[in-house]
Amino acid sequence: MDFPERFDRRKHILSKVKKPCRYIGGEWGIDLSVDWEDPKKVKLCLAFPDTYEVGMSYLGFQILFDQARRIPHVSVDRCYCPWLDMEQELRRANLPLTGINSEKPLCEFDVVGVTLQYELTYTNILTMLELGGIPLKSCDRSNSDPLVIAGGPGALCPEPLGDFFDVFCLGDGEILLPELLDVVKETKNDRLAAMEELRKRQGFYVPLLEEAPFEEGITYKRRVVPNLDEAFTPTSMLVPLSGIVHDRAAVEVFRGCTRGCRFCQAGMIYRPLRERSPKNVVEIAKKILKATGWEELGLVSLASCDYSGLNEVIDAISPFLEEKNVTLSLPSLRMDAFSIELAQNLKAVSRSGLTFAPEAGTQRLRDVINKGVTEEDIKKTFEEVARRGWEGVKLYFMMGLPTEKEEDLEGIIEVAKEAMNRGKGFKKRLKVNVSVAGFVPKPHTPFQWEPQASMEYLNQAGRWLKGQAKKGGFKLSYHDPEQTFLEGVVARGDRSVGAAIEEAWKMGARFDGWSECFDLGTWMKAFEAVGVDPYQYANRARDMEEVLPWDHIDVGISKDFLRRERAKALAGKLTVDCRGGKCNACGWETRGCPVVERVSDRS
Amino acid sequence: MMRLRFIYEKRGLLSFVPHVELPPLICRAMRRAGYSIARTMGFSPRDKISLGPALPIGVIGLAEPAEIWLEKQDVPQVEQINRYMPEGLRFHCIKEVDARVPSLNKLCTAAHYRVYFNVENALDKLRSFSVEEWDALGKIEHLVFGNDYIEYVQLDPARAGLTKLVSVLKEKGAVKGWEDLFMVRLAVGVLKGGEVCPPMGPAELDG
Repeated sequence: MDFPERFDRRKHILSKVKKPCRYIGGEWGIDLSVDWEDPKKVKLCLAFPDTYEVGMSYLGFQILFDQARRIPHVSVDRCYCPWLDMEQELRRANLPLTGINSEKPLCEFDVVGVTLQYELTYTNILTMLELGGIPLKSCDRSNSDPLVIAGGPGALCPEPLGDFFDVFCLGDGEILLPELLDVVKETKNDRLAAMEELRKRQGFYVPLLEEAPFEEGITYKRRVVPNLDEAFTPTSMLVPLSGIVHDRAAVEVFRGCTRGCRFCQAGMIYRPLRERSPKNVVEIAKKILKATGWEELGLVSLASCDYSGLNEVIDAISPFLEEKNVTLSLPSLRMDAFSIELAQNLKAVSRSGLTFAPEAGTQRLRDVINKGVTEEDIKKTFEEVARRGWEGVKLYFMMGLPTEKEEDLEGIIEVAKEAMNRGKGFKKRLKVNVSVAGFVPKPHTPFQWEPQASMEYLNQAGRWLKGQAKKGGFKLSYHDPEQTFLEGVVARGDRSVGAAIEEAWKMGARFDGWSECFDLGTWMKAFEAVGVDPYQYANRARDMEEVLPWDHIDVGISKDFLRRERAKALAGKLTVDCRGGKCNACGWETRGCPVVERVSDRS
Repeated sequence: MMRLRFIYEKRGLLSFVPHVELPPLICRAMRRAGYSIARTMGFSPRDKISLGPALPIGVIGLAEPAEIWLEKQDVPQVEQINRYMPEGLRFHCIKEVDARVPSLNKLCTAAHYRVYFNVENALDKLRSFSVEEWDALGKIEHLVFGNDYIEYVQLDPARAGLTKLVSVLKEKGAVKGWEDLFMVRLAVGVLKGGEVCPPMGPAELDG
């Protein structure tokens, strides 16, 4: 009997860590065979600064991985941040961090592409660079080092990471990444030439070659895919060997959102609204399901109930899903009768519970944040949920929103009780589960000037809510206000916050988004060491005329629009969704907004 | 609905995938191969599949039994399924089982293990084990010492297993942990004439 795996050198280290299946790759669905020795190829590693389970759930990398793989002059691999135990084992054995399939150290790639999805993953980037053998700072890298690039929402407020990245990609990866890889191919081994060339093109920001502080008026424009049906879309996905966070086939039904919720960064930075045609959605979904064998399909976007082709897609795909025993999921539902009826009609959907996001407890505050949900909507929604026999609801709220008062927190409890009471007349009470996040004002939103609620306030509010929930007999959890605070500091940070990130990482900060790892004490020491006052970033009200650290990044919406929206917020006035026909002049109306074009076609 | 029993191997790095993660892995491969898997009843229907006694993470299995329920169709072809299996998972055979036959965990009363040691003197430590020390490891039979391994049959594998062996060896200072061992489950099933056989005989399939 012969067991070659006995001598696999990875076996030893995998036997010593938790969840070793994070590190073994071997996914199904996309051909992973690559000739790594071909010197003509640009070697790309997509690096996700969190665990495998989180990174594999990110649709963006699923798309870019398959797209890059199909470019003849590119070889592509992926990499995820090793958990603390694996980091320790790698250091102890003096082994580098490698691509998951190639087992090539990160430093041997030509391009390392990181996605910035969440501020509290930023220390993990430094872990990955260092373990991968890459100098942390752009200015310290030479031609033998990879070009280290970043994309995702964090690239649109890039300054905290400005020293660590060579290039920030602003906008949709499907158009930016292939172009960047072309430039790298043309300028191979000359990083300065690549950076100079990219700097000339729209959608790329190269901090090393720019002088800070920025002259008023110089901006770097985001670039977008004009039409999702014409953009690259994979017809298969990588299927992991072990459970991940979003373990399902996914088709993006639209990008951008025009609901106009004023707290929501995604709703501002991913505009304009671009819908995929229903025919295309169905076709892609079928292909992905056949190729992957997944038992669940997700129709994803920022608010899939708003997709104009939703009924058409569901009608067209339901027979296929039933035949294959595949369930359909919608991440979170709009609070109205349409959505509940929809959920009900999805025969294949799990019956356990539905998720809603009222976000705020009173009508007044919901109007401030432009969450177009009324008292009436909420009551009717819960009634429908109970009447149709669902087991429970999960409700998402925020605390610390601008203008928030005691009665707004009381309102959260009222809404939860409303949900519980609606179930009374029916078979059984609805199980209610409330999750409350501390509000973090984000760049490129109407609340970008607002002070974030203090940690003390959030602690107090959270404890009070939890106490009330206990009395009321429902579950409530709230995000750790210390993590919320740090997220706020980094979100609106500048270069000096970047110095604090590096310092905190050196002091041991890792996986700050994971409560079992997070330690504010480490961060406070780091802030002190580099002379940064974190409260000035999180809790200070900005002057409306102040130059903000992300003002040079032009995401497409205008600062004027944000100012108007802020004023309307404070006056409690709503802004309607422009899909109804009334343009709100967010800035995209002069830049090829598909909604404007559709509306003018109609009239 | 058709109840099928199959024997598969779990090799290579795939041995690091936890036992509980295998059902979706196998079902997805079956679905890719074009088969319709029956669903469980209830509020959250799942694919109907059940595995034999759990194999610890990192242990390879050469002949592991499992059962899957398919919507009525022809008995699948092993070659067809294997084309859609990730590296490390392979079906050896698949047969229809009578619905009245007891569950796999009831049928699997014995397991055949081989344990290699990557450290010196671990085998010597084992050789010096007293009867009581062996008894503490559960019901062990047919123990054989090889050059750098031991091989034995363990009864009641769902309850006593390798985890116990590793913790005892660690306690005795024979190994530092799982990394010092390489473990193979050669077979799990029924004990027939001193040999562990997969539960695929007529008695196990037809009751």
